[in-house]
Amino acid sequence: MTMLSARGITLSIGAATILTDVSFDLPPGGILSVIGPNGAGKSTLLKCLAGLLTPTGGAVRVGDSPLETLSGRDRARRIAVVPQEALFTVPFTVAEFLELARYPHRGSFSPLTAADRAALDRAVAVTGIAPLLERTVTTLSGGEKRLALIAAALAQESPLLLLDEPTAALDPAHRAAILRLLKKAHDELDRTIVLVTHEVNDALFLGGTVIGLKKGRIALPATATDELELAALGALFDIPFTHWHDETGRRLVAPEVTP
Amino acid sequence: MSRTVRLILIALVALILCAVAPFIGPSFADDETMRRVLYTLRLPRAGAAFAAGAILALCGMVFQSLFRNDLASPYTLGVSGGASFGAAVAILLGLPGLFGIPGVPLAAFCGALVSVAVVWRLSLVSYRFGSQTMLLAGVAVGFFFSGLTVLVQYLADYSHSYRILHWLMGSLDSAGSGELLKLAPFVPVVCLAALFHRELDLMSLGEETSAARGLDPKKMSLILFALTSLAVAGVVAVTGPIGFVGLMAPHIARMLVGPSHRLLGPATFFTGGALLVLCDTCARILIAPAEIPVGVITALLGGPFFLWLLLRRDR
Repeated sequence: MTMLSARGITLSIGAATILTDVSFDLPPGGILSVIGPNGAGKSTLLKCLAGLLTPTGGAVRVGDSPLETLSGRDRARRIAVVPQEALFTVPFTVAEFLELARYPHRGSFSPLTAADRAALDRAVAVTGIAPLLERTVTTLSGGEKRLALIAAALAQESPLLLLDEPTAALDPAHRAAILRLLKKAHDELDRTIVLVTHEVNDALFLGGTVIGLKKGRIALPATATDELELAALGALFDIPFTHWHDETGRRLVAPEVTP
Repeated sequence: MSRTVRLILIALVALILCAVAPFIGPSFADDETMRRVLYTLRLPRAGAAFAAGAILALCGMVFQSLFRNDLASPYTLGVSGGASFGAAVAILLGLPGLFGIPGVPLAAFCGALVSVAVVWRLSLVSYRFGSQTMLLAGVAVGFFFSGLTVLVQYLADYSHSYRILHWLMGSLDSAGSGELLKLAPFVPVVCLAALFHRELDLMSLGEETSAARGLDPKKMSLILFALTSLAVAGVVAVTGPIGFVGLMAPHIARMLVGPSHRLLGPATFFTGGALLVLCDTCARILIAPAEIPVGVITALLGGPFFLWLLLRRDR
């Protein structure tokens, strides 16, 4: 059984082909990191998986259902998306922003039910965002905004969580906090996770499977994170990689930067 | 003070203002004359002013949310340009009325709907249906129709040209129970748009975020544009283009009750209504027995007041 499957995803916009024949399967409870250089089409792939872009070829299935057959709300009840950036131009409070994440379950006119409140409480508890609830989203720092976006995605209570570069442009402490949070979302909240990133160490920390995307095609087929070879990484990013283990035995990689 | 309490206060102030406004102005010693002036002139006029202001304000709020642009107003899609052209042609040619509706408002209503339809069609031509495309298309179409209106005015003789100019200034000076009745059906139309408060909240977060929450942003904006355009066309046809209320009232309401449309909708409704009643009362009494077009008052009072609010907020 698969939670999410992509078959031959192709996307062309005008004369440009952004994605060509991308396929993979992700079982329930799995973690898939899509890595690759800038401009490889990772974020576009994520949008196709989320139903925000319609591929020009191929198909995405969520469980047993083809993605395009799901209504907007149905889709949002199964897939929650954490975009890299959101338009935080309207000064909603964080609490108001989180409440909007319950839209797929409430619709237009029904009030917050006990289930809605419980979902919001769980998301607030697991992200530790309670001190920020009365702040307006326009005043949040980059790290706090990312936390609010993830909290909203968790409050949406969709089993599948798609994240676009969740640690990009964050300082080390915030990056670590976000990674721990994603691990918790997977281990404790049973979320199936698809993560788009060019931070290979993020993928290694979370575990699961990695695929590499380059120029819109799969350049590195699905590989378990602990079997990821330096040569494959080097070929994907066009720069040699090195690795070492920290005192806990965890493997870390880095590009070899020569002067 | 909680935001709900503020909303209740706004509603109270608005209702008190509406009740008091008809009693402001020259009084007549004769009780019978006074009663007739109150009941057949000033009261329906205050009602018409409230309805027009409330509709314009709610349409402005919806447009500001859909376009995610603080400068959006009910006339952003070129509605006033189209309506003005329709009215100018009807005045010049003396077009007859239909179904008991006089020619000028009818032509203005049609002109408004034509301009919105043109903008809508233009926005569909572009690859990505984007709100920015619509915004720019609206500005362009508005200018185009303004050009045509000036041309009609230039071709018209003195008396027609004066009537066109008077219409273009936007006015409630002839508003009575007939105008109130013509405006009334558009109040539920625009209130229906404001009922989608969660959708408006989501859409103000951007198309991608709203789609990720399960909303169909294209379908929703089509519904909201259809409702608001109909309502704006209705108001413009009856009163002419009265500016500033639709831009200002949502901002004033936002400063008082915050950006969440659940409270913002009703707050904008009462603020817009009260604002136009206030401006119309000034228009009536400032140089009584003569009148100033209310559009002049909304701009002259509204502009500086709005600037004061903005600067006060940023301090």
